[in-house]
Amino acid sequence: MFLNIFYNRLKCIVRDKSLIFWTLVFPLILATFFNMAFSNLSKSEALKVVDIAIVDNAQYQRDKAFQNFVEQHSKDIPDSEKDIHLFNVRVVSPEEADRLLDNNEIAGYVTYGEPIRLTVKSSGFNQTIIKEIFDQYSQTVSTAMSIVKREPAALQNGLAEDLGNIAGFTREVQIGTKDKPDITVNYFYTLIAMSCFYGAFFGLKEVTDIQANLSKRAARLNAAPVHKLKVLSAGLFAGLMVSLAEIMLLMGYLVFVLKIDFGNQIGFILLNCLLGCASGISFGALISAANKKSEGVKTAILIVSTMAAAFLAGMMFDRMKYIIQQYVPALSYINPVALITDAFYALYYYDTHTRFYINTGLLGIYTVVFCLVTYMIIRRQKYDNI
Amino acid sequence: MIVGVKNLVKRYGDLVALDHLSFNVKEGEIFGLLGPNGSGKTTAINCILSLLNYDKGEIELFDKPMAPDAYDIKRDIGVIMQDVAVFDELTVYENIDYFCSLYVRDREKRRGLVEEALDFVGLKDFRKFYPKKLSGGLLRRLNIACGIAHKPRLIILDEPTVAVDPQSRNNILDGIKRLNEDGATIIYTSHYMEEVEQLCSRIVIMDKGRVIASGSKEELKGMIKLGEKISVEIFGLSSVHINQIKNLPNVSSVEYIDKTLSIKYNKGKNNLTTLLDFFREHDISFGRIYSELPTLNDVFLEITGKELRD
Amino acid sequence: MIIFKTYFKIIKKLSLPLSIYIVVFLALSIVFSYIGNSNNADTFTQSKTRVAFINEGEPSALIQGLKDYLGGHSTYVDIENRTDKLQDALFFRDAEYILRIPEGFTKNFMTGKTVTVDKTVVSGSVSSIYTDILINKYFNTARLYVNNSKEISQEELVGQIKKDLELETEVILKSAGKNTAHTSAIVYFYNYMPYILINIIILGVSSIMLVFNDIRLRRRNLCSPVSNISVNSQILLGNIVFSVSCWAMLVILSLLLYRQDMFNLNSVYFCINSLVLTITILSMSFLIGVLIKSRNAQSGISNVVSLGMCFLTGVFVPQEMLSENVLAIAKFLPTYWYIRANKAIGALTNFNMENIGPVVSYMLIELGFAVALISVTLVLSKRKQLKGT
Repeated sequence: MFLNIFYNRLKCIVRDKSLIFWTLVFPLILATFFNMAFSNLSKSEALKVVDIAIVDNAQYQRDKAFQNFVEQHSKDIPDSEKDIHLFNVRVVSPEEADRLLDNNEIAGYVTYGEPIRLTVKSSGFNQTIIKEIFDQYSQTVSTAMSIVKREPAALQNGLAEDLGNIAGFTREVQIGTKDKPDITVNYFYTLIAMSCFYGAFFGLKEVTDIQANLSKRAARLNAAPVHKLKVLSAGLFAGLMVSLAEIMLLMGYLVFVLKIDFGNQIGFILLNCLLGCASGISFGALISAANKKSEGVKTAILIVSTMAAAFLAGMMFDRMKYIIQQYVPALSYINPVALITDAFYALYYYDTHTRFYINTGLLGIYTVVFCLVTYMIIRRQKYDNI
Repeated sequence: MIVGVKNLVKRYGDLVALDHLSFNVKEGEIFGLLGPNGSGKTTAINCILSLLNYDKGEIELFDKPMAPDAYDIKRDIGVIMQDVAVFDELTVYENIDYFCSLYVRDREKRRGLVEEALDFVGLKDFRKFYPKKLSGGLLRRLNIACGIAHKPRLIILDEPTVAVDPQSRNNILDGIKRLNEDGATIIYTSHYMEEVEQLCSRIVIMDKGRVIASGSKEELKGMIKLGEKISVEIFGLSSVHINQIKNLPNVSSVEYIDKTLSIKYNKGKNNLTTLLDFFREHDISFGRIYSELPTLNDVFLEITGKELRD
Repeated sequence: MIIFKTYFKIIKKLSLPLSIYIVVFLALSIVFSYIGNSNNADTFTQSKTRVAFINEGEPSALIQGLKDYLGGHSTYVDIENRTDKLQDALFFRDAEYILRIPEGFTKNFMTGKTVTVDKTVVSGSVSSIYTDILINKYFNTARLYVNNSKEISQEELVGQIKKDLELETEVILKSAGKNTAHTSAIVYFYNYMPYILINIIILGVSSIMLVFNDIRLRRRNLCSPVSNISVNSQILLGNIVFSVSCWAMLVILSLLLYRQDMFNLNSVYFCINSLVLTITILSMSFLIGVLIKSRNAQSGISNVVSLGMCFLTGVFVPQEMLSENVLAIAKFLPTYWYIRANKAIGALTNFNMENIGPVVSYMLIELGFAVALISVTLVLSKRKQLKGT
């Protein structure tokens, strides 16, 4: 009998087109959009060659040292492991420089003289870097002069050579084993977390179909010689199966098609998915059992709360999760979507499993609590009102 | 006794929905629960099924007290609710099979029962259809099939013909008779007195949560003073004549509206002959004339002072 | 005008979902216009990197000097020296540069040994290269002094470095015009506008079409003594009035939000551009209204269409950050041109034909989409009528 009910509930869920759309198709589409929109996001942080111009004037032509300096920075900068040219320099007339700046073809232009002048249109990292580099020229000159003043002999002792010797003083080290974390993965983690939590719609459906005060079908069921909890658990189990299968499909799409990095601890990943779906379904069951409003109202409650939870977990703005963890840590422990997201993140990024266990442990506790409260509510077998 | 309801009281806040309701249903009868909308029929059914909490009273089914977990009782009941209660996601066959499976575990046995139920309501050709594709009448039939597939001893039908076309309605009523002939006891609620009159062997009339009369239709009609109604088309009738008619034997009231004379008689004999003699005597020419026996509506009207239909 | 009136009775029923969209949009646009509005002041300001400074060695004047110097060019963030905390901070860019001074650094440096500080950065990012430049500059200068002057004390060294590094290039900020500084918040508002416009117009228009395209209702309308043309034109009028009032409401909101900054020519162009987009969205909604058959499909389609258009064409993620491939697809969507136009309008300082030309051509492309969508819709609905479904 349990199997029979389970099988029928499975059919009911799978044939509910709008349910399947929102819990499976919509996340797949959203993942595709995320992938298309964010594929370049990490790259956009990287430095691209900065286009600048030097005004071609008499002072510039005269000063070979300055020319050398400019040339040096048009090459690879020291200590950079990659071939990054800092500047792409053009030497042009003042009018041309103005025109280039107006047309946004260069970030700024430098007029050599006493002092050196930099002309820009706006403030930003590129402009700041130009300034710092050209600051350096005046500063090195000043340093050389100070040293000569202090130790006149220095000139003979290789100061000039030293001046040209620009060394790198930083060494890149890794913290943890994960190199170069990709911030966009968080978007996909929240997306999975949201889909897990959409399992709430299954929970909603199952409870609605067994509570006589919520639907007519359920009244018929209540007149039948079957224990309600048996029907409910068969239904919730069917919901869990479908939800989990959907998450596997989504996960497969993310990992194999979109190549999102989840790390490779498959067992832990599956555990997180399972607990995520279970918490979602039990949450939906609780919402459905706890109030007698129409199904439309309950759906709205679920959508709004899932969206809000996903927002706080960083689905619309990746740094939101971190901000919440910094300033309202309690909220990030209450929010199941954030817990699911954070568990994926911990698997991806950390070497230890402490944080993963905390997250999944809390999810497990919430699932049990949601189930217990739901049970308390629906345990009652007669109604005051149908 | 199949159903025994004793002093059942159910309140919704200040509203008393059932007010010391008592009745019995005997094996093999088609028991009609008749009353206007809001008289408490559905509430009574829901209490009998232990779906609703009630404030006072006793309910026994098959001589055993009813409870939500009295599964041995529930096994012998079939319920057809006022609203269609089926799964949109399951086909006609799957719906019947699902509800039947809650009563009958054996798969083979169930297959036969579902086929029988499909045949019974005439939905054999629609087995693969989803409920959304069925017309209102066919949907009602599916609703009934879901309730009776497991061959219950007691079948409770709560207004199964509301908003159903006449063809489907007749199909449904015939079906109920056949179920009864096959041995099932039926409880049938309706606010259509014609249906109840046509179908039920025993009738309880309810109003405001109370039983106001019960018995077979003949017994019910015998309870009231009204014997018959005679209507006559007459073109001109003086008030003198009207007053004289009022004094004829057994006449309880006379109305003359729109060229139609309506006379209500208390129980008695030869009313029509006396009236015709009167017309002949006074040389009154008349058109069509017809006589009606009292209906359940008249019973209801006489007891409560209001029409059964709103 | 009975149908026209009915139109708004139906719209009234949608007031709850419509107002949810508007409130969410308002909240988002206010948040984002404040977050994204820190740059572009009237004077040149140097950008700052968020640096976590961790000294694992002994405190020294040299290190303090570095800290002071970097402090002028960075925002220090305080993070506990624990692997997971540092990882978190780096992942979410709370710290863009984690700098660790190893033990014995100062001593080794002062004795001329080759030494390095440890950094953990988001590789190759602009901000990390900037901080690299600063650190290298500091230590290169220090090295020059240490190598070339005998027995220089740390204090004197730091003093000298400070003096040298105070020399700065003179920066001239060529004003791009009087308005640019303040238009950015308005640009944000108008850039996000397609999201809400698409959602509410599709919701409204397709709800109406669902009702009036219902075959039973259409037949009843056809039987009534009102001509088909009159029915259709009243519905069309209703749709236009509805869409334009949604647009007008958003424009009024922008006027309320950015009062003083709205009274210039740029804003007028923003309004025109968004009105043009409204027309395009309206025609798209007609198409959707003809295509969909149920209310369930309605919210699915409006979500997919609005999110798709907004993610792919630069409404949510700036166009500069989208890949070439995505932009190639985006060109086939009207919102891409809307954003292009907005960007051009935001940069307008000088309203001559040469500058306005591109803006107008972008708007014409949007209108082109509208015409194309309307044509497709008319063909489809004609077919539908012939089929009688």
